[in-house]
Amino acid sequence: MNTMKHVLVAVLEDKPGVLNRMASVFRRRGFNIESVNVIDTINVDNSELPNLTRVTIVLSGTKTTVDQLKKQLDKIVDVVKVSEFHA
Amino acid sequence: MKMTGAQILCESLVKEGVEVIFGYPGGALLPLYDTLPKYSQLRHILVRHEQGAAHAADGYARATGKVGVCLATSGPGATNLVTGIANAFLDSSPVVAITGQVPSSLIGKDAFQEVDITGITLPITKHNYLVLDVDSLAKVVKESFHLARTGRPGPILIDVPRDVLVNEAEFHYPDKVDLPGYKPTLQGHPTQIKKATKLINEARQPLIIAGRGVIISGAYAELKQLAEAAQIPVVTTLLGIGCFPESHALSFGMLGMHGMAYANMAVDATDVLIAIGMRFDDRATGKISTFAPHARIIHIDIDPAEIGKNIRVDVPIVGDVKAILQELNKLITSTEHVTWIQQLEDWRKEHPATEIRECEELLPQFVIRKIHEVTRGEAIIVTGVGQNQMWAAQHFWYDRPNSLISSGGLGTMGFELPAAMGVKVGCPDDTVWCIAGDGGFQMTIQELATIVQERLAVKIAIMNNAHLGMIRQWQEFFYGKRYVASPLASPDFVKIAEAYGISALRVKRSEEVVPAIEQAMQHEGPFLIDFVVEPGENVYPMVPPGATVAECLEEPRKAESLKAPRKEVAV
Repeated sequence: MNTMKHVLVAVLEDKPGVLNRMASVFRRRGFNIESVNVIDTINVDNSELPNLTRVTIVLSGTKTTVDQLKKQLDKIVDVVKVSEFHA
Repeated sequence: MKMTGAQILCESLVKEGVEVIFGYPGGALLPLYDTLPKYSQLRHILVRHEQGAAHAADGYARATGKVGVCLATSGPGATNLVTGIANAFLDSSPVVAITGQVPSSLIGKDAFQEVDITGITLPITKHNYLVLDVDSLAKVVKESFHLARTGRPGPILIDVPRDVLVNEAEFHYPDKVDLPGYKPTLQGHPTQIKKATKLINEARQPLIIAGRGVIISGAYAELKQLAEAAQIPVVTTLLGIGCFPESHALSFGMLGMHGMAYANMAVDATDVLIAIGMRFDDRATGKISTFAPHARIIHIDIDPAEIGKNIRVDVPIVGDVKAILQELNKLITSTEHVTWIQQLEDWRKEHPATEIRECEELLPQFVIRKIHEVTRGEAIIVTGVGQNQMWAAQHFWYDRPNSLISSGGLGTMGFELPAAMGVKVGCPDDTVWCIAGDGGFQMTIQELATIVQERLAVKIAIMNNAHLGMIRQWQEFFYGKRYVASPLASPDFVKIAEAYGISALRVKRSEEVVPAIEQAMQHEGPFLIDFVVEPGENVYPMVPPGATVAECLEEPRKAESLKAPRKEVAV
């Protein structure tokens, strides 16, 4: 399995504790994160949803690992969308 | 009209169709308890420990399909719910847990009976809320019930500070929820369904593993239609028991660590495995790298995160089991798999799993079988965890939908009695048997008082082997028969029951079993039977931990065994 660097972009509702919810997934499911960047209150193109937060996560792992993290993050109710960023 | 938070909470519960709350009061909840009597639609059942409330709500939810509600005060009340919430989470049971919290001005100050319960339950709830504003209370309740019962069901916790219960707001119950991050997929993707159809139609030795997702989705008829049309044998997980009639000619029992040898051999041999509403738990799969080594795997589940989590899957289909099976059934061609089914039948003959040895001692398997015979299988069985659970799974034959309620994922000893209580509240017209071990029973024994106070006619069978039986079994097999901390002294359960006001009997001999069960059934209220069973009895078959499912240990004394009556084949 190829271990590669991946960049995930998650859009979250700006609710109390939502970062804690994400961090909890990293910790309890054993994902090793290289960096997390959080930007408050962004405007998503053509979106009418206010109060969104964007989180950019960099991690190394196989495709399976990254797919699994994506799905686990998407399961959080306050997470609106998770996508993989391809440069 | 303005209402207090306590009134808004009660009104919202009524709007959600709640009929029963399992709860325990405390300082932070007094405003709510003071309001409850105004809502006669909400039956409050006072438990004896908050863990009992959580398990009862869970049992109620599993048996009825409705959301179970439990209520506990702040601090220790809330922490006592934790095991029950985790149990509901692991087994996807729709529960709403409401906790009192210290006044919002004191949060974060280590106030009396303050605990960060939303923090504590974050990894064991589907979602949770701390309500800081009475204006948002109705919306939170609406969302909680929606989240609990839709998609993959699960527990939701609502933490309500004391001042929020007292403050006033206008009550408007929202018609719909607005959760942009929550959109469960219900319809299976047509392309995936086509791919699955092709695999199934071409399969020579197909096998269905059915889990609790079938029960949650109510897809009994659809599963039966698929199995019969394509002649596919069905094995179930522990929690899948009751999703397919066990007396059906295509039923080959439970798989996994204590599953039937033939069920595990079928998994080992199948070329197309159709996993429906199950999640490849390690107790079901054994060593994952050698699980179903010859099979292409179709995995049908509502939770996309379960796809590929434990095992590589060839054709995933995400969505509601019932909706997917309906589509699949339109495309499946009727086939025969005569040789394959004959092979399974041969394995079943060679490795019988439902026989009970003839011997002097009272065997727990024999007790379970007799409960089946006396009730004619018309009962809901609620089990503890350990040997009693496995014997209940193996030796009672489940033909009725959803007739086994058991703690699977978390494996919570002490689940049995409070869960049985919740089941009986939800299904008052059903016979409910609680199968307990002498260990687990003592973990939540206090709920006997609740059963008496609420006049719940739960029938209790304790498989009393004076040991933590499953621990003893593992120590015998894998730890050189060093029985450390597994022998267990217990009180006189008959006297205990009588002290609580419950009629009880002790049974030591095989010939006393049937009359005792009959007496319990004829008795109007709750009834307890202390079955003093053979202490050295082991659960067979057993797949040793870390082994391949096909490498199971079988009962050594087969030669002396008594032929069990063959299950009748349903038409």
